[in-house]
Amino acid sequence: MANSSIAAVSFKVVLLGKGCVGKTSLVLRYVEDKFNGKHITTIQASFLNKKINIDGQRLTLAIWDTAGQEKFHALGPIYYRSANGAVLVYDITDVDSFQKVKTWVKELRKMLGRDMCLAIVGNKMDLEEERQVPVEEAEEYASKVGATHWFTSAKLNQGVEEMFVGLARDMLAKNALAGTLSRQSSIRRNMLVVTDDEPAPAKGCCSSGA
Amino acid sequence: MDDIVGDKNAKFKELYNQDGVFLRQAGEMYTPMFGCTGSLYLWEHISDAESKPEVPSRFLEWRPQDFVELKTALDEGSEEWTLIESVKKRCRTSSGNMVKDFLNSIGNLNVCFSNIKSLRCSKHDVLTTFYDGSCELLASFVFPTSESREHFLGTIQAFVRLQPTRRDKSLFIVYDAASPGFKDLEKSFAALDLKTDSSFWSLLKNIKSNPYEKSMEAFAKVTGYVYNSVDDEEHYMAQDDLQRSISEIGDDASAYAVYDIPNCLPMRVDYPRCNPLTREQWRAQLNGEGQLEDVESIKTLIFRGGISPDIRRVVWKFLLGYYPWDSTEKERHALDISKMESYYKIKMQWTTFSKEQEDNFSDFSQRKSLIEKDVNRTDRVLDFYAGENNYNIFSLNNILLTYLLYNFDLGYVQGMSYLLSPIYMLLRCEVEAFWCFVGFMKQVMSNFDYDQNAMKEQLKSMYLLVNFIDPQLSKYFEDHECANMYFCFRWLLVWYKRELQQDEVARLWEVLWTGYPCKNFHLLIGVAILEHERDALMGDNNGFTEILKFINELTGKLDINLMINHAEGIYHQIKDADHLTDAVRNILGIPVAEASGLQSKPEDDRSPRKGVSEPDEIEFEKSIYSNFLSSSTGRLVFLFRP
Repeated sequence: MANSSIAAVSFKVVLLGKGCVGKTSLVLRYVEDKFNGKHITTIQASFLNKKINIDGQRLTLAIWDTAGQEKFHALGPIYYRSANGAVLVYDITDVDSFQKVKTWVKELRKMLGRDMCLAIVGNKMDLEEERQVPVEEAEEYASKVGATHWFTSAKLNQGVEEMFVGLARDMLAKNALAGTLSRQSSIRRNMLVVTDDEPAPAKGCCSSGA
Repeated sequence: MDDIVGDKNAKFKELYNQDGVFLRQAGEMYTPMFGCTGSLYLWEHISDAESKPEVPSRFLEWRPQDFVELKTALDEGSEEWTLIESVKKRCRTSSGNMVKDFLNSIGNLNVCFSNIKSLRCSKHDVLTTFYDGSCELLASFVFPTSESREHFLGTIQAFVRLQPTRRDKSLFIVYDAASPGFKDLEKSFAALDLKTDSSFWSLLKNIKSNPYEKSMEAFAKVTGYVYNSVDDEEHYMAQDDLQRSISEIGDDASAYAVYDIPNCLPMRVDYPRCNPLTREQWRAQLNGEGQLEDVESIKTLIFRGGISPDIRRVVWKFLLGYYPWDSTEKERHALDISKMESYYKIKMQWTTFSKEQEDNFSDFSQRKSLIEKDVNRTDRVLDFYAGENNYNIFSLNNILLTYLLYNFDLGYVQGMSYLLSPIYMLLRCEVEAFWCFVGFMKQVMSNFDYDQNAMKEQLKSMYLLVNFIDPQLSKYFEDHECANMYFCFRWLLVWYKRELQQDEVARLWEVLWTGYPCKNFHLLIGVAILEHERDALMGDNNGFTEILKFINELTGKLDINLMINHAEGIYHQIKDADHLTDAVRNILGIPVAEASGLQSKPEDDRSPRKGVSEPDEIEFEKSIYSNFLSSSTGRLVFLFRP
């Protein structure tokens, strides 16, 4: 299974979350290492590529940044369809934004099953003193739904790269297990449900390929 | 063909002359003369040596009469305003100087008769269009009366034969008298020798004098008559000849298949943009009471060129319904006061909330925080909105919160702050900006509905328009899972605000607010952009992702004046298209009567075309749904069909 790990792969990642939690800031920080507290509202969606190399495996992340507001929720499927991973962002100072993450998790699991790797991200950790979402609650929820959990600050550039790389590793692992490494894994097969709750074991298989 | 007549006028004989012929269309170089009337001549060259057997060359000449008058007027140094008035009806898109330059640089319109390979005679009006051998339009004229056109057609039949095509009976192939096809036809008519039979005569006379009538039908009748006249042996013989000649014509017609242009759009006409409405033009329209005299012409000027920035502040208030168009100065003064009062009344409703009240009103406080977050991200790159504690940001916030209370059912939706920003930046007054924003929102409110149906409807219309104008492009979208057109979402949601600079937005919006030249003109702007970028869109086998990325990256690169110009050209192409469908007509609100006459003619057999030209709505729907998810579509549908 690991023999084809030299071939470059491409993963589609979609950022979802309530308006103004920092989705665009996370992407801009990660892809262009920029931060601007006064950037513009995302209407519709934007799209950026990031090429990375994990343990010798070259991969391209096609990152979709979406509009956050509830009214644009109906557009979600256009962007998350055939995505390999989702970054679900909330603002640690905004309880409501965490509720919105839960809504997205529910919808993604319902629509796409468990094939998609999820990363739940508590952004704005620079505002720790204003924290409204308890750390334990968030982490517990994430593990319950089979997602990884991260804290980031796009502003201070903390945890952003780790989060994207971590998600990339998960997607690689899931991909390797699915045996579709040489192909775009946009085709979903229900028989892969086997990998459901244990994305971790596959990691080794991938890194050894280097 | 530049100067066929020139000084050699003496060597030409005038075969036909008609005044008051309106030039609808011709080659691009004649654009400024479109819509002008003039005299149409048919000249015949008289050979020097009469013994020469060659056919003398003939050509059509059209001399723009108005232009002569106009040129005189120009030379006399009339003011620009007078000029616009005098040109308005005939060629209202041309600015005075352009006309003048044009007149100095170009002569009359000439068309070599031998270049005319086919012509179309519209049955309803007196529009007559000439085409060359490759389906290119040479010239399109409107004769003053049907008699004058018949006279023209009668004249040209002295040396050509007109043969209607099988599929399109208003399109005629022009046979030169010297061509073998023509001679065969003559022969078979002669062979029939039908002069004794009056009904035959009338039929044939019809064909000769009204060749643009369905001659093929006449042929059919002739055939029928021949078959039925059993007691005349000669007719049996003639029958063979007739059949042969018909089949020969048939063969010839199929050889000319290139002339059969079922779904050809009329040629794109350039409608050059004009100068913006000036303060003088605006003032000139106000009467003693301060009432606008001619609202339509003001709107036309705005549509044609936008508004000069120094009077935008006033005119926008009319365009956005703050002042009624027919209001007097006195009434406007009263409106200023009452609007101020009612604004502060609504504003007070939220400024007087106590902290506790707000905490217990989560619908309000959530939206309030959303507005706050959004205004802090709206146009902060512009000096006007830049910097910490900017008062203008504070005002945007006030206006949006007041609007929230004014229209709580709608709530606040991302994008609205972008619609307000240019308005407030221009008016710099909370009260005026609020009411103008209310006026704008009335037009676009449904864009922000929860179900997004209005947006989906517009995207679908956009697809149908692209399909009509550029079927190849719409096919590409269809084949690449983009027929849902979602990549245009942002364009339509905030009327291209995010793609343009603030001054360009102002120009586009004021043009769109006039409501000219048709409903949903903002969709045609999008169609113009897509058409302009078609090669880039279709290159590299782009899919939805690449197209969305490409469209997002058009920001700051659009020439909006050019796009308005193209959009207007597209509008006229659609309106005048022979195959205009009801679906497209409805989108743009084109009334049936205004549409090209051919379409509404009941006896016109359009059925074979219908299947081709009707945009496939089912396909479109299918593609929308399929675009959402490949495996679990069934479950997803509820999201879009509430």
